[in-house]
Amino acid sequence: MAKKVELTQEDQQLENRVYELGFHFVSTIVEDEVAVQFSHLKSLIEKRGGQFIAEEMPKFKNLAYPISKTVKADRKNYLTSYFGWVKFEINPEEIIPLEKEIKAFAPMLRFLLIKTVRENTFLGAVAEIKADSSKIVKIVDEPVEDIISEEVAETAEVEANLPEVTESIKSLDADDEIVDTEKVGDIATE
Amino acid sequence: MTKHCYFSQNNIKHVDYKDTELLKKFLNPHARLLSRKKTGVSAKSQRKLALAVKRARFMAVLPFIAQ
Repeated sequence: MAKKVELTQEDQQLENRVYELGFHFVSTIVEDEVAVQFSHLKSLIEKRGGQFIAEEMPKFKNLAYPISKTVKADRKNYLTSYFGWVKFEINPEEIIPLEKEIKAFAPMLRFLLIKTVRENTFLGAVAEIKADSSKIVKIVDEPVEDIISEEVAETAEVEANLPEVTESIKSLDADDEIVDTEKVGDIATE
Repeated sequence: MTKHCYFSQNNIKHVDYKDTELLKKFLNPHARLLSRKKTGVSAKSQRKLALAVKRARFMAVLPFIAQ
């Protein structure tokens, strides 16, 4: 019986799932306030036992189309927002009440809560790192170029000496030929 | 015409809706999703791509229609 209880506890641990919350804050809030509101939002997730995996601070962004938000009787259209996202792990039972809380969160313009994986899926960040590494490669390239230029200088020297070397080789060849014919003659006479 | 899946070639297992530059490669000038016939993407990846584009549209990262 005790084993069964342990198993169910393990199952509950396994039930934790990875989610990603992407969100737009209204652009009417002050820029200094954005970080404060972001930490408020994160505290909502933390209260329900969420563990953070990755996040990106909300950044000012132009929207692809206007999004409207109605507060009481006042409807406003927004063409800009602060877009950020946070990836976290949480028990699926907590996700529906959490969603309701996020919906009621005051500066929220729009949000998307999706199931995802623990690994990094955002290639934008990877692409940036790759771009940086290419810079490093360039720095490494410079001494290589120097080596090549040195090699070129050496080959140029060799090429300059080439006529002398070829003449000496030709003379050597001529001697060899003479020797060879003598040898052939010897072999023939034998 | 090359008919190789972009995602399997670049070892991309999950398509993220935030990758706008990647998603734009598979949209026509009207911001409509290109067919598999044109992109050469595998059926599995095309489904993931379509979902990512739809999420990106909802989040106003990509437009529903571009004039």
